Amino acid sequence: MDDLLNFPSDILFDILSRIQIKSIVILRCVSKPWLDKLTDSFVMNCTKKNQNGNWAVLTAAFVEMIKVIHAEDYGGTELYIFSSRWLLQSQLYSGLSSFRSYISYIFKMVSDVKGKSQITNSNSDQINNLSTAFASKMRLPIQAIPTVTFNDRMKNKVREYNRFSVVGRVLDGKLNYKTIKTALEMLWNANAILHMETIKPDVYQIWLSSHDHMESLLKEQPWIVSNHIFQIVSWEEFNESGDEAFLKFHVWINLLNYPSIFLDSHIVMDNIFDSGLLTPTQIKLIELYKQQGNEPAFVRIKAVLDSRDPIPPGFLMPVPFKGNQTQWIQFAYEYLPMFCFRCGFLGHIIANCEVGMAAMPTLASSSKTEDNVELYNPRSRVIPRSPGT
Amino acid sequence: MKDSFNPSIEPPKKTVTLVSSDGYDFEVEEEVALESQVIKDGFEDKAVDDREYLLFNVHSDTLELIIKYCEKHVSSRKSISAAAASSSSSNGEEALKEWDEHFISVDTNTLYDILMAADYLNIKSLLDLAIQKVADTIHGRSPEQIRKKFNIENDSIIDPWASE
Repeated sequence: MDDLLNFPSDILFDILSRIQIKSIVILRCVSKPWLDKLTDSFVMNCTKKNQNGNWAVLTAAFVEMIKVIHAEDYGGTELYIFSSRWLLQSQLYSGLSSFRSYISYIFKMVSDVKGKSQITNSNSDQINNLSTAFASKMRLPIQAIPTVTFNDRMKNKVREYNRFSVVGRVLDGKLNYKTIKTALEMLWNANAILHMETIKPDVYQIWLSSHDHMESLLKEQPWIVSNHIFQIVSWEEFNESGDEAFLKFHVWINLLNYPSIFLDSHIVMDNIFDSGLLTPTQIKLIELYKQQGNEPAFVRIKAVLDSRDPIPPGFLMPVPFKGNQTQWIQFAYEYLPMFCFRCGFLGHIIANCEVGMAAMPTLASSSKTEDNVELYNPRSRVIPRSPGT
Repeated sequence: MKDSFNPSIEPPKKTVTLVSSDGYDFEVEEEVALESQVIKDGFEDKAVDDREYLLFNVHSDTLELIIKYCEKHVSSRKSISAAAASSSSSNGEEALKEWDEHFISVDTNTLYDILMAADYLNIKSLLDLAIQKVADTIHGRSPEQIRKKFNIENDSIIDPWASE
């Protein structure tokens, strides 16, 4: 018999019902589990015995307990702890609505008991003292939840603690903690990650060693974690705007079919602004790749997009040297998550698209060479074989 | 079938096999096994040659004690009724009580096992006896004694007995 509490509750109940109240009160001091169990069992005991579950009976039992406690000459603390728990329990079991009436009832009971002088070895003053002590210590239920304000000192501490940390999440998917951590340790310097913590589902906070490192990581976005874009924002940004901080994401865009003769960053910039697809603030970096062997020349742009907007599809550019023709410059996004080929929004596929066909912009068709250009097509997503080159 | 050949001889006592959780067989008389309400309930439905009960919750050590208890009770019941019939004033009941008292004076672990087995087999008188014994064990003890007995760590914030 390791512990009495291991008994099935009906057996325990049976055992306790054979023990005097006094013993039960004493046994409650054995340990906290015993306190819980015995209080429960005892109240259950009282209510079971009296089928009506009526609180007068509970009170009578309570007064009996007071007598016991008093006779044993314990201090007020036990009585307080004991009685508050008792009241809570009996309220649960008997559905007492008012503590006040209950307390006044107890006083009455106590004075009745006193009057009948059932209490031995004690005088009436002690009972009075007990009653008042009980009343003063017995708190009514607290109406409002007590709170403390978040003061500046605390704010500073929090800021200091989170100073060199970034908050990140996978743009679309749900990768687990371990996958992300391993991938990041390979991408970044393994020693640079001091600590990583899940702050809410799929959102991770990562503590870094220095401010410079954090800045450079933020600057060198996007980070790719097992073919998913892993967004990071500084803790401060996340703290201010919460999940909205993740609405913007960094992505590399490859400009397919870009004519090699216009391979000049100013021209590319002008083209893009001209097309109205991106604003100057959205473009972070432009990389130009000259033709190398069979690899055609292409342009790589790092842009910041808003995940609530449709992704820019590409633009048409006149190619005068081939006659009066136009060339469709396709935007190919590296590691872009699932998106709709009809409307260009992230998060759903064309089969689930709620935008009607009619509402769709149709590409002014233009070219003699290409009849119908699909704004979005499977080429809009690319997974580079060797990223960064 | 055998009985019909020898009608003069008292029929052999019917037995029931009880199998303990650790796989020991206990062959007991039907009457003794029927002390358990659980066995009694399904008894009539079972075929005569299939009177074997697997008691998954009862260890052989405990089962032995319980069979001992049931045997004692069955036999003393018989002797009491016989004594009543012959109207001789015997102290059968008191003797049984004494025997019970002696029987249940075991260490706490055995007591626990007996209690749980009695609960499982639904042997009312034994359950009653065991519960009373547990109640007596903890009744009137100080928390310190209880803690020692059940090996409980003292996590109590209030301990009126601490000074003792």
